Amino acid sequence: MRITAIEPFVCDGGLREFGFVKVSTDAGITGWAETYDWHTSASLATALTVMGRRLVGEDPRRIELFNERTWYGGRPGVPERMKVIAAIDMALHDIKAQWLGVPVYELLGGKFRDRIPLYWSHFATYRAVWPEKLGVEPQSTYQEWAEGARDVVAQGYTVLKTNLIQEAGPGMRATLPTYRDGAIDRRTLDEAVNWIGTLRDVVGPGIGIAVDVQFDYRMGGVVQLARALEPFDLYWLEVESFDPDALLAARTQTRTRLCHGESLIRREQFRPFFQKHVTDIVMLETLANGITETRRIAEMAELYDVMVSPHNWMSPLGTMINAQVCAALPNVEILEIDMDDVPWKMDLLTHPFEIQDGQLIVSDRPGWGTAINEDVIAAHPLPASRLA
Amino acid sequence: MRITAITPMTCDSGVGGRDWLFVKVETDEGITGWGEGYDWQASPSLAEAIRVVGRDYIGQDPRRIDLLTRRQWQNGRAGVPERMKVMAAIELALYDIKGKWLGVPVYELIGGLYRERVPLYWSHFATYRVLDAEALGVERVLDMDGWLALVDDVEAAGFRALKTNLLIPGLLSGLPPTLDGAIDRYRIEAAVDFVGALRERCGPGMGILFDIGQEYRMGAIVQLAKALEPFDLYWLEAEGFDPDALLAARQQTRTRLCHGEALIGAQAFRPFLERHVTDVVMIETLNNGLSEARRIADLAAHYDTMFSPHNYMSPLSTLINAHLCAVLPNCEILEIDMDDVPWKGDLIDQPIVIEAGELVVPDRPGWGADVVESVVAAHPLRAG
Repeated sequence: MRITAIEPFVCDGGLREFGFVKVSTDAGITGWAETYDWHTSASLATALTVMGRRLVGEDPRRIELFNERTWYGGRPGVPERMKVIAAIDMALHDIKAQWLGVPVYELLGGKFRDRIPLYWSHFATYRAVWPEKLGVEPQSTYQEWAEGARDVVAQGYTVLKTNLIQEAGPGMRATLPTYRDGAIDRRTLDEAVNWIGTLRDVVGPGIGIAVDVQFDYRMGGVVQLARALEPFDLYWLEVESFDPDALLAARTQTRTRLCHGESLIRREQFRPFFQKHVTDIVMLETLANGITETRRIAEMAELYDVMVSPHNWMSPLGTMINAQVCAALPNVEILEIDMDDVPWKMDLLTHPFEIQDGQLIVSDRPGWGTAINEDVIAAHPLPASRLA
Repeated sequence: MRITAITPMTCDSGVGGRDWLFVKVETDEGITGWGEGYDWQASPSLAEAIRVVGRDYIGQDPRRIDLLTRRQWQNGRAGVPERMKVMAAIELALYDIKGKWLGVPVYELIGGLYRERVPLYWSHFATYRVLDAEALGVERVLDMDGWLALVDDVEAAGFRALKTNLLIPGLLSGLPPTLDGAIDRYRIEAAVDFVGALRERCGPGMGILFDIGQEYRMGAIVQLAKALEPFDLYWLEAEGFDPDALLAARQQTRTRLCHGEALIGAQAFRPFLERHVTDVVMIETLNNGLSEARRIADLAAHYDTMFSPHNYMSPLSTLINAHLCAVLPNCEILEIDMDDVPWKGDLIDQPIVIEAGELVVPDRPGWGADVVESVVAAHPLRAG
C-alpha cells in the first residue's frame, strides 16, 4: 500500500477553527485526522501540504518509521513540526486500522473499556458569551446560568467544567476576564467565588465542578484563585504553565486539585512535571501529539502514578480519535466534551458518536469509526481575515 | 473470540540452567498462540504458576491484551516480579493470537516495520564449547588457540560482533564465580589474556562484548572495566540493582557498560534511565511481555538510550524479539546463540533466516512460526 495524496482542510468552527487532513492511498483506503492550532490553522495546513509531498509513495503502515524520520529529519525541538507529524500519525493509524478492519484501539493494546466517562465542558460559558453562535436565548445572571446545570445532570453527566464568566448587567452578554499581566484582582476573585458558589448550591455536593482558567494567571494568581475556591471542593482547577517548579509551588499552597498540560507537546515537556509530581492528573492534547506520542506520554504518566484526561476541544472527529485513545489506555480518568456547540457540528461526521448517561460509547467500527463529510467543511470556509 | 486453554510446557534445552518454557494459548476460533516464559533453573515453578493463573484467562477475549495483563497485575498484588513473569509469558501468546487473527505480523500491531533486518551479535562465543560441549555434540575446547580458531565460524557467518564470558584455559568450570562479588588479580589477568588474544585475532573491526552477569559488584566492575580498556570493548555487561553504584562504576572507566537483563517493569528501569547510567540497556522481553518491553524501550529512547533485547532462550524468543526490534527505532543489536544444541531449530515450524549477521524479520502472521510440540516432548526436564 502506498500513499497517493495528503490534503489539508480548514473550516470555520464558529467558536474556533477546525483543521483536518485526509491521507489517500492506492488501496482505496482513506485516513482522516484533525489538526490542532489556535488561530493559525491555515499555516498548519500549508505545512501539511508541503511536508505531505515527501510522503507520497511511502507505505502508510510504517508509522514508527514515518514518525522517527520526520522528527529527526525536521530538526527536533520545534513543536510546530510535531503538530504536522501528529496529524499525519493519526491519519496513518486510521488507515492501518481500516486496512485490518478493526478499530484503532486494537493497535493500542486492545479495548480496555467500553464506555468513557465524559465531563460537560464550557458549561454556561458559550451560552453566556456567544449565545448567537449557539442559537440560544441570552441569559445574564449567575443564577440563570447555574440553573442550566439541572439539565446537564439530568442527562447523566457527573462532572462539568466552566470558566470565570462575569455578569455584565441585565440584557448584556457576559464577558470573560481580560488577560492583563498574569496577576488576579479582587473583583475577579469575588466573582469567581460568587459564580462557583452559586453553581455548587444548584448542583449539590455530588457533581464534580472543574474550572478552567488556562494561561490567564501566573503562580500568585493561581494560588489566590485556588485558595478562594477551596470551599467548593473543585474536581480540578485547570491552569497552564511551562514552569513545573512554579506550578508545584502553587499546588503545595492549596488544597484545591490542580490539572494542567493541554499546551505541552511531547514527553520532553511533560517529563519534569511528572518527575516532580506536580499534579496527579494531566490534560493531553492528542491532536497536537498524535497517537504514537500521546500513548507514550500517557504511559510515562502512569509510571509516575499520574492519570490523564485528553483535551477534547475541537471537532467531533477529535472526539472519535480521543475515544479510541481512551478505550485503550488504562490511566484515563475522564474525557472532555463540548455539547453546547454550533448546531451543525455533528454533520461533519459520516458516523456520529453515541453518548449514553454521560458516557461515550466506544465505536467498534474500523479506524476511528467515521469519515468526514467534505461538503460540510466546504460550507463553512474560514473568513478572509483568517487566511494569509 | 474466547480463550479456552492455557498450557505451559517445559523443555530441557541441554545447556546447563537454561530450561525452555513454552505457553500455548488456545481459543474457540481455532487460533492458537505461543508465548515463552523465562526463568533461570526454576522453570517448573513458573510453569505451575502459569497453569494456575492461566485459569483466570479462560473465557476472556484474547484481543484485550493490556486489560487482561493489568487485571492480573492488580489481582496479583502489584510489585511481585514473579507474577510479572507469568503475565508476560501468557501475554506474548495473546500477541501471537492477535497477529494471526488479523493475518499480519505482530510488528504491525505495535507501530509497523521500522527495519527489515536486525543486526545480530554471536553470543556465548566459545562458552558452550567449554561448558556444554556434549549437549552441542561437539568436541570440548579448553585452550586459547582452540577458542581463537572458533572466530573463523563467526567471521564466515558475516557477524560483526560477538559476546563471550570469562573463560580460563584448562578450567572445565569455565566461569569461576567469586563468593563475595569482589574480583582478584588472577581473574583480571585471565580476562585480559582472553580478551586481548581475541582482539588480536579479530582485529579492530569486530565488536567484542564481555558478559560477567551479576557476579561482580561495583569495585570489581571498575577494576575489570579499567583493565579491559585497551581492547575497546563493544560493551562490558554487568548487572546491578543499584543505579548509583553502576553510575559510579561507569564514571570511573572509559569502557562502555550495559545492563538490564535482570530488571522487570519500566518502573525498575526508570532510576537507571533517569541517571543515564548506561547508553544502552538489555531488555528481557520474555519477563516483561511485549507491551511492557515496548514501554521500557520507549522510555529508554526518551532518555537517549539504546536497547538490545536479552535473547538467551529458544528460537521462539528470537522471533518475538525480532518483532520488537523490527518496530522500535532505538534498537541497537540483538543477541543470538548460534552455537547451540543441534535440534534447536526443530522447535519451531519455520526457519529463522539469518543473512550476513542480520536477522531477516519474518512477515508471516503472528510471530511467524509455531512451536513443534513433539520436539518439546522429546526433551523433558531431567529430575534433579
